[in-house]
Amino acid sequence: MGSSQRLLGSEIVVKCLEEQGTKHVFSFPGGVVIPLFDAFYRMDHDIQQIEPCHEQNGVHAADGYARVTGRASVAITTSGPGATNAVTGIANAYLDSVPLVVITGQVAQALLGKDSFQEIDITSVTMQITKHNFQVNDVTMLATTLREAFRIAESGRPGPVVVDIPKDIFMTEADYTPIDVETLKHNAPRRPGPQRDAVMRAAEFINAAKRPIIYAGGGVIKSNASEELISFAKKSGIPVANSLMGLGSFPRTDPLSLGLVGMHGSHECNLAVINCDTLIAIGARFSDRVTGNINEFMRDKKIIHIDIDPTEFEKNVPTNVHIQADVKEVLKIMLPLVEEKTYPDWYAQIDQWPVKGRDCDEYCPKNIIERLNKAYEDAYVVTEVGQHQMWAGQYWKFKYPTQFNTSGGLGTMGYGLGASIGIQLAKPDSDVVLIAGDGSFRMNCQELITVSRYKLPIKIFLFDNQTLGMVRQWQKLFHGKRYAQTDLDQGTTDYCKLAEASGIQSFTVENLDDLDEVLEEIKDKNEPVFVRCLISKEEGVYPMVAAGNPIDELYYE
Amino acid sequence: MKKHVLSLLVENNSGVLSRIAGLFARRGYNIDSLTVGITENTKVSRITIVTSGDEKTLEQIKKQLNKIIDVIKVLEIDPDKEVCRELVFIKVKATDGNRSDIISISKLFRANVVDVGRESLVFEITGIYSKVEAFFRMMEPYGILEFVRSGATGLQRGKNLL
Repeated sequence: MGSSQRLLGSEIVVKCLEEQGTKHVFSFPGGVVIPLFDAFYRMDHDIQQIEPCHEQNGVHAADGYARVTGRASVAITTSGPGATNAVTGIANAYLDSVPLVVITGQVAQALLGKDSFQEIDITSVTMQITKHNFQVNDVTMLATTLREAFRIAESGRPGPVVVDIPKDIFMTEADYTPIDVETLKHNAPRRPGPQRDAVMRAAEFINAAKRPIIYAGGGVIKSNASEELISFAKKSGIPVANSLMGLGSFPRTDPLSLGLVGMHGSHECNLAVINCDTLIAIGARFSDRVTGNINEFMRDKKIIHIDIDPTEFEKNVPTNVHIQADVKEVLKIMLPLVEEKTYPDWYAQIDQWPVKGRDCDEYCPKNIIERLNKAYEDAYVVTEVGQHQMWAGQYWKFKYPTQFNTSGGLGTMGYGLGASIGIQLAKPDSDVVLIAGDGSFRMNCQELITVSRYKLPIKIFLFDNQTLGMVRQWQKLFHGKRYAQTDLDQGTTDYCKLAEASGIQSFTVENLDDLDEVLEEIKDKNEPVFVRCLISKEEGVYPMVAAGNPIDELYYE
Repeated sequence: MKKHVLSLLVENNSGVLSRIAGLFARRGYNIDSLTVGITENTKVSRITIVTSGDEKTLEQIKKQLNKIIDVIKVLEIDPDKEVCRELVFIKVKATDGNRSDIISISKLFRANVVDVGRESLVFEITGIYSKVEAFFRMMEPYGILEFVRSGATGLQRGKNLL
């Protein structure tokens, strides 16, 4: 504990971020936050301010940063439009349970409620897309509120927290007493552990199963429980399917890994999940994109559901046993209770299910992804939203948790570039690969300027098919090939020139030889690179399950 | 659908009512009535919500309410076992010919006459659903002009505290 100081509200904000060990904030200035930015400018601290072109991407950057560090990350915006620009980013973090503290400036309290210039009631706007939010109306509560915001964002099921701070609060003095956050965390009351009898019953179901499957979601990654999941699966001999958010929680190269399940899951994975007799859902939430037709999904199986958030139980599917606790703790307790086993008949059945898709031509999305995977095995992979995202989910052999960073719940086109910026800053010594589609990319491509400004060596691979491929695919399959508004242009937009305009070296590839050559050339480049991969708009993501259908009814082209 | 009475203690922060109302709106839960008032602790308010739905929905509602940071406690109150009442004002058409009949029925329900007009009577009645509804049925033939219901509030009996 340090001694108390008299500081301005703006200075208290900076001090509170330092307390949390914050190294980067994603901030964009504006009228009401000038005093705060002034404090950052004047004070001696180790926080680097990163300025995006648009607040949405600042929040996406913070989101990416938080995913790979596991700590709440910070974005700062001004009031009004600054705050509303952040809304999509906040919603994205909310649906993917990413811990963020978003500080929004607000008009001075004397001007509140008068439709003042750049006044928006952002706590009301973000109420349904934050874990919690605050407006600070008393400078003496500022430090407590910020500490509470971090605690809420990071505890239990993580999520974004908005702290709205009126301008006069930044300019008013209060006593500030530093605290040691680690001590505070250490002294925090412990959450109750898993209910012992539920764990015992779950273990009994698991030991009695003939055809068990683990369905592991993003909660495994959030709870840092990948190692425990691996030990659990290997000991019990149970194959592992992943939701999109769960990819990376279990190494894709492991013989027990079945990869992605659901709308674009593989034939063997979907059939294994639907035909299993015991499904062990770990940190997953039975999203409609995973279950398809819910009644068919549930047929003839026992469901064990492990999650930290009790509202997930019985929300989408009824369960036989649910265990509410931190996934990591549950897996640790469960490990000695499950029998060491293998299921030769079940494995043999699953092995019969793979269906070979269309023979991939030389140059097709699958082969492009596999080439990238080979060149950047250990890289953090980031995607936008659409076909390229699913191809990455299907074909990349994820090795470690947090390797795959994608907008799962909200499906935010334009997420990827901002997120890559955050991830590269958090992991300066790692490769960061952004796999993008042209439809998503053009939503927030202005951030190429930010990539270049901060010299972030992100490797951007743009799958350019001049169309909104995923929507087009649905139109092709379900709407009589009526391509309403999906074709973007006739290849007239040269995205490479856009990259070059920001001083980023660019390449265009149209075949695998080109790609190999480029990958070889950029191998050791410690600077951003933009590679435009021209692909056919007829390429689809297969297999595919139509929305609402059972997940064992798969379309192939 | 069965009615359920939920009693909540919440932090007395601005926006807490919007959070709760917003939760019901977003998840498609019903609110039959909602009352808010101060408590013995100035930092805490007490909210009583009457909702209708099956057991599964009720469980979700309770869990979702508990997830709101400002919600301190959620308790379901069984109106048949605990103390549960609502206040109702009801304006009934009355003439010189039937006024005393109406008043004598109201006495059976312990309803008080709070206003007498030339063409109407206003009663105050306190009770819970079955009693209030029975009174409404008895008043219907005379003509109910309008009514207002406070929504239920309740407390546990005995020494139990929320």
